[in-house]
Amino acid sequence: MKRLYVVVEGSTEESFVRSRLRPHLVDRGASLVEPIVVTTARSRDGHKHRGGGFWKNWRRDIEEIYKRASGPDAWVTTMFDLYGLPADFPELEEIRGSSDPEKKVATAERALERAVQGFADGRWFVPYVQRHELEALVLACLDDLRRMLDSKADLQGLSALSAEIGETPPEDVNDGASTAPSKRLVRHLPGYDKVVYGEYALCEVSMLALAQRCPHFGRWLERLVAIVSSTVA
Amino acid sequence: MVLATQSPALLDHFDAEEVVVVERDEGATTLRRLVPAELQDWLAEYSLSELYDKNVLGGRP
Repeated sequence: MKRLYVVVEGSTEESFVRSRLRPHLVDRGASLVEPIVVTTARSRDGHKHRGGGFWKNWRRDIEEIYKRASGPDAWVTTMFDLYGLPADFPELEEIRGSSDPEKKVATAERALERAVQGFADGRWFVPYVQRHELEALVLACLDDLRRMLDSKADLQGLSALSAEIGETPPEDVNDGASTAPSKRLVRHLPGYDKVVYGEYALCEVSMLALAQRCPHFGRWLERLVAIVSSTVA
Repeated sequence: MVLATQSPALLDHFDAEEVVVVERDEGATTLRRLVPAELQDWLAEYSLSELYDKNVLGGRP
């Protein structure tokens, strides 16, 4: 029975792992699915003063997870945003140098894999970097979000946001300082609260629908399902 | 004296061996003492409240 540790950036991801990813994977054979938050709100403020990038902390956390998780059935994966990778993230220049989002995430994921090799100790690691941030998944569920909101201003904002996105696949909604998915949500929805609205949007959408609308996410999900449902160590 | 809390800040006033994590597993309440030896490396970098926020300790809502 596979155990999976999902290294996440924040509490919206933590909530998504616990309320959606965990049941999906436990139903398919996982014995444990736990999120570990690398940069909590408290530590983010602390590190602002200490300077330096966050990556060395993330890397240390992943190393510690492997140290503590004994046995060959323990897997580690990540849920990091392509948008706003820390300044000391490995191969960041190469990631930024590419203009193709698929190439960017592929480079980022390979860099993650290489960085972890030293202490994964032959155990299993599935790097995953979201295009372009978690809020892409929220953009994929605007109809679900609509059902949960009742403020007129929010509902009007939702219509404007849907019109603005149009047919663009959520994972292609780009990562400019004002055009990233999270920025668009903040701009259009007066009541927007990252954690609460994120949960509203994602709490009931089918994982299959999410996977279809967000293919990069879908491929990650498929990989995790294959791992937890296989009887091979 | 037993203090039941959901306050991470309060945790920082105690040592790991004084903490019991309460969780619900399939309808049953479980109580689990923290094992300082297992948390040694984590505690070198983070406070108990930070480890709680990271879900390293468990007991999350």
